[in-house]
Amino acid sequence: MTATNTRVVITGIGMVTPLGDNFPDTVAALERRESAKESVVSIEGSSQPLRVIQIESFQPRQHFRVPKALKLANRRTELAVAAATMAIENAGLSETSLEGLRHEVLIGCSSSDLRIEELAQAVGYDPDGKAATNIPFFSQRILDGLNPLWLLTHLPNMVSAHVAIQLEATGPNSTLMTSGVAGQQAIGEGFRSIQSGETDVVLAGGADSGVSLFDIACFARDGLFSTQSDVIHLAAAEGSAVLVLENYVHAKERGARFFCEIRSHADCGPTAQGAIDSTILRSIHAVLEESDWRGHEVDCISSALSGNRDLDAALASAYEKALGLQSEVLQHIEFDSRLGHTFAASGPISCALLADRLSRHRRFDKVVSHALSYSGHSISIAMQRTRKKGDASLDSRTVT
Amino acid sequence: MQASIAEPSPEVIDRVKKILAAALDRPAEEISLSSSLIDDLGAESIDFLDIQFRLEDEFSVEIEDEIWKGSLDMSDRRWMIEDRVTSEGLKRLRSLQPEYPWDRLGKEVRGADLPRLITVRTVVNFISTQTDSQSENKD
Amino acid sequence: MTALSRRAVITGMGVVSPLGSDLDTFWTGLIEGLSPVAEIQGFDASMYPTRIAAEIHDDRFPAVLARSDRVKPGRKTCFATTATRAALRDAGLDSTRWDPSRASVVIAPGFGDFRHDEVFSPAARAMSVDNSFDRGEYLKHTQRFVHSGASKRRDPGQLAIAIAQLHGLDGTVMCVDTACAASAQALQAAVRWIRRDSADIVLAGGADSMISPLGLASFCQLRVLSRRNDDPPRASRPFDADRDGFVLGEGAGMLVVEDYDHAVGRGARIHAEIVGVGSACDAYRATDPHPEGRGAIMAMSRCLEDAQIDPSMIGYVNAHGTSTQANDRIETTAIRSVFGPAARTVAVSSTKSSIGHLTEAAGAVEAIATALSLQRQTIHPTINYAEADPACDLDYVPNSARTARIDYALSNSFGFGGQCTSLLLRKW
Repeated sequence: MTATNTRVVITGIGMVTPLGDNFPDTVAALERRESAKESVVSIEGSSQPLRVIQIESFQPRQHFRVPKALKLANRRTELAVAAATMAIENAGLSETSLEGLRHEVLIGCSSSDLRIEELAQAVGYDPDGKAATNIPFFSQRILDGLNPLWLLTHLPNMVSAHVAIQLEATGPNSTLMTSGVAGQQAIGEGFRSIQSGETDVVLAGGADSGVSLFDIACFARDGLFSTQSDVIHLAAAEGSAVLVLENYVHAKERGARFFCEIRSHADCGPTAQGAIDSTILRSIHAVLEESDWRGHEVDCISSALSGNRDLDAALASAYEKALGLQSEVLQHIEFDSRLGHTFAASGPISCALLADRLSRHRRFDKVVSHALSYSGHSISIAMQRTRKKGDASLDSRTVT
Repeated sequence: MQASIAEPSPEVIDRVKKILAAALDRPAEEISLSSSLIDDLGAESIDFLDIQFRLEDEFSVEIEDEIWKGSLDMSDRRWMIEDRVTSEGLKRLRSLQPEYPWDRLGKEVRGADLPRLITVRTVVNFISTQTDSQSENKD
Repeated sequence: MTALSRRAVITGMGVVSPLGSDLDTFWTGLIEGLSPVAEIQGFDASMYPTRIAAEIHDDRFPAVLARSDRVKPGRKTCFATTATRAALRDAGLDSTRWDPSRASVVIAPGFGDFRHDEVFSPAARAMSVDNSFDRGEYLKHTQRFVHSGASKRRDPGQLAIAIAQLHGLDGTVMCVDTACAASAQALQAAVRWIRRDSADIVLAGGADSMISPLGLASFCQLRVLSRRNDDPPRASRPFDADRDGFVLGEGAGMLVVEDYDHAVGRGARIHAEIVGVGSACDAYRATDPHPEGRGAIMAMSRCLEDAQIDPSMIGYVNAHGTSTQANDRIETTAIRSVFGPAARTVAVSSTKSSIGHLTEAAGAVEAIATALSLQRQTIHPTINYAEADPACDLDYVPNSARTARIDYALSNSFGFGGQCTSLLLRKW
């Protein structure tokens, strides 16, 4: 593995979840042991009602420096811009021109919204569904009725592009779309980018929603997120978390406060079908090795749950194997059962909540955040309480 | 094409203003007939498409893309040479858009500046002629 | 910093394009200035204001409106898998010749693989006579019209996973989406992984097709497509005064990006080295490029800085060159600003003049064209160039190919949203 000296710390967190429109509210709600309110969507002709969690109170407007962009914003964009703006404020960078910093923007989403209702409105009354088969009919209707902005609200890359527009972030900018682990991957890639000296500050995270009509239709067709389902035993939800990752020296020089340090990351694509537990193990072993930790030293592992019973069983056994059963203090936590499945936002939400614990609770020192997609793609991120250079004692800085 | 246009009805003005307020995310009271869509209301190129789409819907008229060139047609070589508006062209523009605060533009006016001359009145006038001709047709 | 001295070279290239799906046919078509742009045949486009595109006519790929209740890979997925196989063959590689955990894939996947009827059969039936939309009706009809496996097909990330599993690439799997710059960004990610020593081999590129009833409509609505329906082969005319928008193309480009030592160790043939990568975002507006080309200038400058190469050493720029008024004017301004006096002599051409705009696949396919230019010391022309635009005053290699000594070539890719990426390739 690469030997590099650049340390990477987390200096800002922004978040929107079903339990809170910002990071402190979410943390407080979790500490009160609240769970997000679910609703059930019944579908005529289907025996499997869907479990859904929607964020209702969230007001995106206050987070948009240029409010006109709101008409181009899909749900993921609203969630991403809000989390990114709050993360920058939290990091104490809101008065700093990003153009003067070496920075990047990496936001993960798992799909893009077709905006079915807008498409249907554009087609208009069509009881026989001619639009589906008669293309001249379809094209006449859609060319007459579809708002020219539709494509721009649908294009997935606009999620990170809008973050750049709102924050005037001219650095490299990507939307990652690697299924449910896209947000975790954004954090991993951002970490490597700083570690290898390519940049100093990365806005990394995920913004996702699985509650649009088309999402619900697809999930229902495949029997996912249903009240009866064994396949995914979670509610489909929405949310976002964006972290400010920063070069340690850079952060120190500007007097930033740290949540924690990222020690390593391992990104293991889904191998052949059926070998999921080995992929999980591989990613955890790799972060332990690179962080120079032993399994039993890990205080806590958090998983962004797949919600799939088979995968989650594989998870539990892999954690046991990788971290050792001798550790009695090991905590295995997951937030998805209380927040719902936030897809590509789930990894970043979990990283952010772990970072918060590291900054506030002395009993946490070494933690691993693990995200798994339903295809078996496994990404682990190892985080540790920030230490002063060359000093094994804990950094006493805390977040209030 | 400079047929005299009857003073547009307050009702049309009001509906146009509402559309612009929604499309450009501005309070309606900030919008006046002489506001330039670009300079004063912050419109960018896709907003013109959006506004056009909303106008078609609101007034049930077909609007060709030419609405944005219409009164500002500078295709004649006397008015514009190689992307630069000639002094003759400038005279024409000033007479077409007397309300525009001309001191905003430098000495040289280029093709790319032309859309800046589009004001709320440009839109209102266009809609008035369209809806007029439509009602004539119906008669 | 040994890691940063690792070098990324291109050892395999696979292309699926409207000019053909092998490197030689593709290259010959570009050199001969052929245009595959024609009236759309994949579906009845007679009612669209734009009725032309650069389509791929090849029975190996499923038709755009193929209807099937069974889960089959769609057209774009097949473009990607075909280009991947070709790239691996070209590189002389298979999974027995790499350490699987050091072999990765990064791809620009375009949209998900959902079908037209799957979207519109239930959506249309959800509208009532008074034009209101009924959610319950919509969901009810999806039970009949949405096929099983839809939740995977709506996920663009599945394409990268399919390729990784098919070929035994157990390293990082990533999908990157930055619209028309996406597959250039995928190549950038590949180079960074090689340099960081996190992979030895990366399959990188993209696949896309927006030539579908909805895709075409959505671009028509944005007024960005050429409407030169009466003369399709001459519709895509980047930098020409009379350009009126871009022409949609479709296809895939996949490249094997490999660590130099790894490539030499196995005696691989090297097409070119990627010596510089640079990205930036306009951070300006959704579709309007920044008036001075801020993002484009920064992407090119960062790329040159990364490679530590002076612009005067660059012999060729493979432009983004879409054939829209704004892009071509602003790209020209940006090249002028970055190249300074060297802009007077550098040759600039647009692959899109021939094959149209391959949207998310454009960057990778154009990187292949750039590598071939270096390898064959020939620059393909910008075709359909007839009348100079005073705002576009560079040497666009009009209409006929030329041989030239080129040591370094730059490839630009810019997306809606302002995401800009430049890649710098060196002759091998």
